[in-house]
Amino acid sequence: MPVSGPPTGAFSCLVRSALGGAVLATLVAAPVAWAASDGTIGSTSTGNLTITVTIDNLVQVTGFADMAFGTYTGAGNLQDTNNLCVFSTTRGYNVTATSDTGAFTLAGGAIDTIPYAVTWDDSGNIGGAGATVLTHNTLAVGFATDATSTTCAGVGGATAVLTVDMTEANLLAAAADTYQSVLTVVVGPE
Amino acid sequence: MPGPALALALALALLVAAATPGLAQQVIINKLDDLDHGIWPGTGNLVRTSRHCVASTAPGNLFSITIVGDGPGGAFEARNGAATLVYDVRYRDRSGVPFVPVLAGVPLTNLVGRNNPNNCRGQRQRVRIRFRAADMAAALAGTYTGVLTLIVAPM
Repeated sequence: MPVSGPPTGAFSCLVRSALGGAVLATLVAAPVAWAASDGTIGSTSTGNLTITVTIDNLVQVTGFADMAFGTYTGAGNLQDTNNLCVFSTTRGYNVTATSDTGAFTLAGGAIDTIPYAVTWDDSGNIGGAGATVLTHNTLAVGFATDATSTTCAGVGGATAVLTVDMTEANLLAAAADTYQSVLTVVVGPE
Repeated sequence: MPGPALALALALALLVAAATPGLAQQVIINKLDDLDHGIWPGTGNLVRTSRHCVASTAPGNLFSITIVGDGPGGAFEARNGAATLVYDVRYRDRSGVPFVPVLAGVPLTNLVGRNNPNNCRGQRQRVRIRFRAADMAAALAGTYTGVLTLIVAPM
Protein backbone atom coordinates (compact mmCIF):
# COMPACT_ATOMS: atom_id res chain seq x y z
CA MET A 1 0.00 0.00 0.00
CA PRO A 2 1.51 3.33 -0.94
CA VAL A 3 2.24 5.67 1.79
CA SER A 4 1.06 9.19 1.10
CA GLY A 5 3.19 10.60 3.82
CA PRO A 6 5.06 9.54 6.85
CA PRO A 7 2.77 7.82 9.31
CA THR A 8 2.12 10.07 12.17
CA GLY A 9 0.05 7.80 14.27
CA ALA A 10 1.45 6.08 17.25
CA PHE A 11 0.12 2.93 18.76
CA SER A 12 0.81 0.80 21.67
CA CYS A 13 0.08 -2.71 22.66
CA LEU A 14 -0.54 -3.08 26.35
CA VAL A 15 0.00 -6.55 27.61
CA ARG A 16 -1.17 -7.40 31.04
CA SER A 17 -1.65 -10.49 33.04
CA ALA A 18 -5.08 -11.31 34.27
CA LEU A 19 -3.68 -14.06 36.39
CA GLY A 20 -3.06 -12.34 39.65
CA GLY A 21 -2.29 -15.39 41.64
CA ALA A 22 -2.09 -19.08 41.47
CA VAL A 23 -4.68 -21.07 39.62
CA LEU A 24 -5.89 -23.89 41.72
CA ALA A 25 -7.23 -27.19 40.60
CA THR A 26 -8.60 -29.85 42.81
CA LEU A 27 -6.36 -32.77 43.50
CA VAL A 28 -7.79 -35.94 44.89
CA ALA A 29 -5.83 -36.62 48.02
CA ALA A 30 -4.81 -40.12 48.88
CA PRO A 31 -6.53 -41.46 51.97
CA VAL A 32 -4.57 -40.76 55.10
CA ALA A 33 -4.53 -43.12 58.04
CA TRP A 34 -4.71 -41.11 61.23
CA ALA A 35 -2.47 -43.07 63.44
CA ALA A 36 -1.07 -41.05 66.32
CA SER A 37 -0.20 -43.54 69.02
CA ASP A 38 0.69 -42.98 72.65
CA GLY A 39 3.54 -44.62 74.48
CA THR A 40 3.24 -46.85 77.49
CA ILE A 41 4.93 -46.53 80.87
CA GLY A 42 8.39 -48.03 80.98
CA SER A 43 12.09 -47.37 81.02
CA THR A 44 11.49 -45.79 77.62
CA SER A 45 8.25 -44.75 76.01
CA THR A 46 7.57 -44.31 72.31
CA GLY A 47 4.86 -42.34 70.54
CA ASN A 48 4.13 -41.90 66.85
CA LEU A 49 2.29 -39.35 64.84
CA THR A 50 1.53 -38.98 61.16
CA ILE A 51 2.49 -35.86 59.24
CA THR A 52 0.63 -34.89 56.09
CA VAL A 53 0.81 -32.04 53.62
CA THR A 54 -0.77 -31.61 50.22
CA ILE A 55 0.78 -29.77 47.32
CA ASP A 56 -2.05 -28.88 45.00
CA ASN A 57 -1.91 -28.33 41.27
CA LEU A 58 -0.64 -24.78 41.31
CA VAL A 59 0.56 -22.53 38.56
CA GLN A 60 1.71 -18.95 38.44
CA VAL A 61 2.90 -16.68 35.66
CA THR A 62 4.79 -13.49 36.38
CA GLY A 63 6.95 -11.02 34.54
CA PHE A 64 4.45 -9.26 32.29
CA ALA A 65 5.30 -5.81 31.08
CA ASP A 66 3.43 -3.48 28.78
CA MET A 67 4.62 -3.39 25.20
CA ALA A 68 4.88 0.13 23.93
CA PHE A 69 5.88 0.03 20.29
CA GLY A 70 6.17 3.74 19.88
CA THR A 71 5.59 5.55 16.61
CA TYR A 72 5.75 3.49 13.47
CA THR A 73 8.28 4.88 11.03
CA GLY A 74 6.69 3.37 7.97
CA ALA A 75 8.97 0.45 7.33
CA GLY A 76 9.42 -3.00 8.72
CA ASN A 77 7.62 -5.29 11.08
CA LEU A 78 7.27 -4.65 14.78
CA GLN A 79 7.95 -7.13 17.49
CA ASP A 80 8.21 -7.12 21.25
CA THR A 81 8.60 -9.82 23.85
CA ASN A 82 8.03 -10.53 27.50
CA ASN A 83 10.28 -12.97 29.31
CA LEU A 84 7.99 -14.71 31.75
CA CYS A 85 8.36 -16.94 34.76
CA VAL A 86 5.91 -19.80 34.70
CA PHE A 87 5.84 -21.91 37.83
CA SER A 88 3.81 -25.10 38.01
CA THR A 89 3.78 -27.81 40.64
CA THR A 90 2.97 -30.25 37.87
CA ARG A 91 5.76 -28.87 35.66
CA GLY A 92 3.18 -28.76 32.86
CA TYR A 93 0.71 -26.05 31.89
CA ASN A 94 -1.58 -24.69 29.23
CA VAL A 95 -2.15 -21.18 27.94
CA THR A 96 -5.19 -19.26 26.77
CA ALA A 97 -4.78 -15.74 25.43
CA THR A 98 -7.51 -13.23 24.68
CA SER A 99 -7.68 -9.59 23.74
CA ASP A 100 -10.20 -7.02 24.87
CA THR A 101 -10.82 -6.29 21.20
CA GLY A 102 -12.23 -9.79 20.68
CA ALA A 103 -9.37 -10.82 18.44
CA PHE A 104 -5.65 -10.38 18.32
CA THR A 105 -6.00 -6.86 17.00
CA LEU A 106 -5.08 -3.42 18.17
CA ALA A 107 -7.97 -1.01 18.03
CA GLY A 108 -7.72 2.68 17.33
CA GLY A 109 -10.20 5.47 17.65
CA ALA A 110 -11.55 4.91 14.15
CA ILE A 111 -12.71 1.69 12.58
CA ASP A 112 -9.26 0.44 11.62
CA THR A 113 -7.57 -2.32 13.52
CA ILE A 114 -4.12 -3.78 13.32
CA PRO A 115 -3.85 -7.54 13.58
CA TYR A 116 -1.03 -9.02 15.57
CA ALA A 117 0.26 -12.49 16.18
CA VAL A 118 0.92 -13.98 19.60
CA THR A 119 3.54 -16.65 20.12
CA TRP A 120 4.31 -18.61 23.28
CA ASP A 121 7.70 -20.25 23.51
CA ASP A 122 8.75 -22.66 26.22
CA SER A 123 11.87 -23.86 24.46
CA GLY A 124 14.64 -24.72 26.86
CA ASN A 125 12.40 -26.48 29.33
CA ILE A 126 12.46 -30.22 29.57
CA GLY A 127 9.57 -31.52 27.47
CA GLY A 128 8.78 -28.08 26.15
CA ALA A 129 6.49 -27.62 23.18
CA GLY A 130 8.63 -24.92 21.59
CA ALA A 131 7.41 -21.78 19.89
CA THR A 132 3.66 -21.99 19.40
CA VAL A 133 1.47 -19.47 17.64
CA LEU A 134 -1.59 -18.93 19.79
CA THR A 135 -5.12 -18.68 18.49
CA HIS A 136 -7.35 -16.14 20.16
CA ASN A 137 -9.32 -17.58 23.07
CA THR A 138 -8.17 -21.10 22.32
CA LEU A 139 -6.50 -23.39 24.82
CA ALA A 140 -2.95 -24.26 23.88
CA VAL A 141 -1.69 -27.28 25.77
CA GLY A 142 1.49 -29.17 26.40
CA PHE A 143 3.80 -26.49 27.69
CA ALA A 144 6.47 -27.24 30.27
CA THR A 145 8.47 -25.38 32.86
CA ASP A 146 11.60 -26.36 34.70
CA ALA A 147 10.99 -23.82 37.45
CA THR A 148 11.10 -25.23 40.96
CA SER A 149 10.54 -21.90 42.61
CA THR A 150 7.86 -19.28 42.13
CA THR A 151 10.51 -16.78 41.10
CA CYS A 152 12.17 -19.10 38.59
CA ALA A 153 15.37 -18.83 40.56
CA GLY A 154 17.92 -21.24 39.22
CA VAL A 155 16.49 -21.24 35.71
CA GLY A 156 17.46 -17.75 34.69
CA GLY A 157 14.37 -16.05 36.02
CA ALA A 158 12.21 -16.93 33.03
CA THR A 159 10.86 -20.09 31.47
CA ALA A 160 8.68 -18.74 28.66
CA VAL A 161 8.70 -15.98 26.09
CA LEU A 162 5.58 -14.18 24.93
CA THR A 163 6.01 -12.49 21.57
CA VAL A 164 3.73 -10.05 19.80
CA ASP A 165 4.33 -9.43 16.09
CA MET A 166 2.81 -6.97 13.68
CA THR A 167 3.57 -7.08 9.99
CA GLU A 168 4.58 -4.15 7.92
CA ALA A 169 1.65 -4.72 5.59
CA ASN A 170 -0.86 -4.53 8.40
CA LEU A 171 0.81 -1.48 9.86
CA LEU A 172 0.80 0.36 6.59
CA ALA A 173 -2.83 -0.53 6.03
CA ALA A 174 -3.90 1.20 9.19
CA ALA A 175 -4.95 4.82 9.32
CA ALA A 176 -2.91 7.15 11.42
CA ASP A 177 -4.05 6.77 14.95
CA THR A 178 -3.08 5.34 18.27
CA TYR A 179 -3.89 1.68 18.60
CA GLN A 180 -4.16 -0.38 21.71
CA SER A 181 -5.12 -3.81 22.97
CA VAL A 182 -5.13 -5.45 26.35
CA LEU A 183 -3.90 -8.98 26.05
CA THR A 184 -4.94 -11.36 28.78
CA VAL A 185 -3.04 -14.57 29.31
CA VAL A 186 -4.39 -17.33 31.50
CA VAL A 187 -2.11 -20.18 32.46
CA GLY A 188 -3.46 -23.41 33.90
CA PRO A 189 -1.76 -26.51 35.29
CA GLU A 190 -1.83 -29.77 33.42
CA MET B 1 19.80 -57.89 122.36
CA PRO B 2 21.86 -61.03 122.86
CA GLY B 3 24.66 -61.59 120.40
CA PRO B 4 23.08 -64.46 118.41
CA ALA B 5 19.79 -62.63 118.11
CA LEU B 6 21.53 -59.48 116.90
CA ALA B 7 23.45 -61.45 114.33
CA LEU B 8 20.24 -63.04 113.08
CA ALA B 9 18.50 -59.69 112.83
CA LEU B 10 21.37 -58.24 110.83
CA ALA B 11 21.38 -61.21 108.52
CA LEU B 12 17.66 -60.89 107.89
CA ALA B 13 17.99 -57.20 107.24
CA LEU B 14 20.70 -57.81 104.68
CA LEU B 15 18.61 -60.54 103.09
CA VAL B 16 15.57 -58.30 102.80
CA ALA B 17 17.67 -55.51 101.37
CA ALA B 18 19.19 -57.82 98.81
CA ALA B 19 15.80 -59.15 97.80
CA THR B 20 14.18 -55.74 97.37
CA PRO B 21 14.47 -54.62 93.74
CA GLY B 22 15.48 -51.00 93.04
CA LEU B 23 12.65 -48.88 91.72
CA ALA B 24 13.32 -48.38 88.01
CA GLN B 25 12.80 -44.90 86.68
CA GLN B 26 9.79 -44.71 84.43
CA VAL B 27 8.63 -42.43 81.70
CA ILE B 28 5.67 -42.01 79.39
CA ILE B 29 4.74 -39.97 76.33
CA ASN B 30 1.09 -39.66 75.42
CA LYS B 31 -1.69 -37.42 74.13
CA LEU B 32 0.00 -37.08 70.75
CA ASP B 33 -1.96 -35.88 67.75
CA ASP B 34 -1.37 -36.33 64.04
CA LEU B 35 -0.33 -33.22 62.17
CA ASP B 36 -2.22 -32.40 58.98
CA HIS B 37 -0.63 -29.38 57.40
CA GLY B 38 -3.45 -29.09 54.90
CA ILE B 39 -3.04 -27.77 51.38
CA TRP B 40 -0.15 -25.49 50.58
CA PRO B 41 -1.59 -22.28 49.12
CA GLY B 42 1.49 -21.63 47.02
CA THR B 43 3.22 -19.23 49.37
CA GLY B 44 4.70 -19.35 52.85
CA ASN B 45 5.85 -22.12 55.12
CA LEU B 46 3.43 -24.55 56.72
CA VAL B 47 3.89 -25.08 60.45
CA ARG B 48 1.89 -27.27 62.80
CA THR B 49 2.47 -28.18 66.43
CA SER B 50 1.50 -31.33 68.29
CA ARG B 51 1.00 -30.86 72.01
CA HIS B 52 1.49 -33.85 74.20
CA CYS B 53 2.50 -34.96 77.68
CA VAL B 54 5.71 -36.49 78.98
CA ALA B 55 6.12 -37.61 82.59
CA SER B 56 9.26 -38.97 84.18
CA THR B 57 10.05 -40.35 87.61
CA ALA B 58 13.70 -39.38 87.29
CA PRO B 59 15.00 -36.72 89.67
CA GLY B 60 13.67 -33.37 88.61
CA ASN B 61 11.33 -35.23 86.22
CA LEU B 62 14.11 -35.05 83.68
CA PHE B 63 13.87 -36.88 80.40
CA SER B 64 15.52 -37.07 77.04
CA ILE B 65 13.79 -37.36 73.70
CA THR B 66 14.98 -38.84 70.45
CA ILE B 67 12.93 -38.11 67.36
CA VAL B 68 13.22 -39.88 64.04
CA GLY B 69 11.30 -39.75 60.80
CA ASP B 70 10.60 -42.65 58.52
CA GLY B 71 12.96 -41.48 55.81
CA PRO B 72 16.31 -43.17 55.16
CA GLY B 73 18.32 -43.28 58.38
CA GLY B 74 15.45 -41.71 60.25
CA ALA B 75 15.43 -38.61 58.06
CA PHE B 76 12.61 -36.15 58.41
CA GLU B 77 10.98 -36.79 55.05
CA ALA B 78 7.41 -37.13 53.89
CA ARG B 79 6.72 -39.15 50.79
CA ASN B 80 4.34 -39.31 47.88
CA GLY B 81 5.29 -42.43 46.03
CA ALA B 82 8.90 -41.99 45.05
CA ALA B 83 8.78 -38.23 45.59
CA THR B 84 10.01 -36.89 48.91
CA LEU B 85 9.53 -33.67 50.80
CA VAL B 86 11.75 -32.76 53.71
CA TYR B 87 10.53 -31.07 56.86
CA ASP B 88 12.22 -29.85 59.99
CA VAL B 89 11.43 -30.54 63.60
CA ARG B 90 11.62 -28.43 66.72
CA TYR B 91 10.80 -29.32 70.28
CA ARG B 92 10.10 -27.61 73.54
CA ASP B 93 9.45 -29.19 76.90
CA ARG B 94 7.59 -26.36 78.57
CA SER B 95 6.14 -22.95 77.94
CA GLY B 96 8.41 -19.96 78.19
CA VAL B 97 11.38 -21.63 76.56
CA PRO B 98 12.21 -21.51 72.86
CA PHE B 99 11.72 -24.39 70.50
CA VAL B 100 14.96 -26.24 69.92
CA PRO B 101 15.91 -27.61 66.51
CA VAL B 102 15.97 -31.39 66.45
CA LEU B 103 18.34 -33.53 64.43
CA ALA B 104 16.99 -36.93 63.47
CA GLY B 105 18.22 -39.55 65.92
CA VAL B 106 20.08 -37.12 68.14
CA PRO B 107 18.66 -36.92 71.67
CA LEU B 108 17.64 -33.74 73.34
CA THR B 109 18.54 -34.01 77.01
CA ASN B 110 17.72 -32.46 80.37
CA LEU B 111 14.13 -31.81 79.44
CA VAL B 112 11.56 -31.44 82.19
CA GLY B 113 8.32 -33.37 82.22
CA ARG B 114 5.51 -34.12 84.59
CA ASN B 115 6.12 -36.27 87.63
CA ASN B 116 3.55 -39.01 87.38
CA PRO B 117 3.60 -41.37 84.42
CA ASN B 118 0.38 -42.92 85.63
CA ASN B 119 -1.38 -39.59 85.34
CA CYS B 120 0.40 -37.41 82.84
CA ARG B 121 -1.51 -34.18 83.18
CA GLY B 122 -1.91 -31.59 80.46
CA GLN B 123 -0.07 -31.27 77.15
CA ARG B 124 2.86 -29.11 78.08
CA GLN B 125 5.39 -30.60 75.67
CA ARG B 126 5.27 -29.66 72.01
CA VAL B 127 6.80 -30.88 68.79
CA ARG B 128 6.66 -28.51 65.86
CA ILE B 129 6.87 -29.53 62.21
CA ARG B 130 7.66 -27.09 59.45
CA PHE B 131 7.49 -27.55 55.70
CA ARG B 132 9.40 -24.76 54.01
CA ALA B 133 7.89 -22.89 51.08
CA ALA B 134 10.98 -23.39 48.95
CA ASP B 135 10.84 -27.14 49.47
CA MET B 136 7.13 -27.31 48.70
CA ALA B 137 7.57 -25.20 45.58
CA ALA B 138 10.17 -27.64 44.36
CA ALA B 139 7.93 -30.63 45.06
CA LEU B 140 5.55 -32.12 42.55
CA ALA B 141 1.86 -31.90 43.30
CA GLY B 142 0.52 -34.61 45.53
CA THR B 143 -0.13 -35.60 49.14
CA TYR B 144 2.98 -36.28 51.16
CA THR B 145 2.89 -38.36 54.33
CA GLY B 146 5.47 -39.26 56.92
CA VAL B 147 5.60 -40.86 60.34
CA LEU B 148 7.41 -39.24 63.21
CA THR B 149 8.55 -41.37 66.13
CA LEU B 150 9.29 -39.82 69.52
CA ILE B 151 11.22 -41.89 72.07
CA VAL B 152 11.52 -40.59 75.59
CA ALA B 153 13.72 -41.89 78.39
CA PRO B 154 14.29 -40.81 81.98
CA MET B 155 17.56 -39.12 82.82
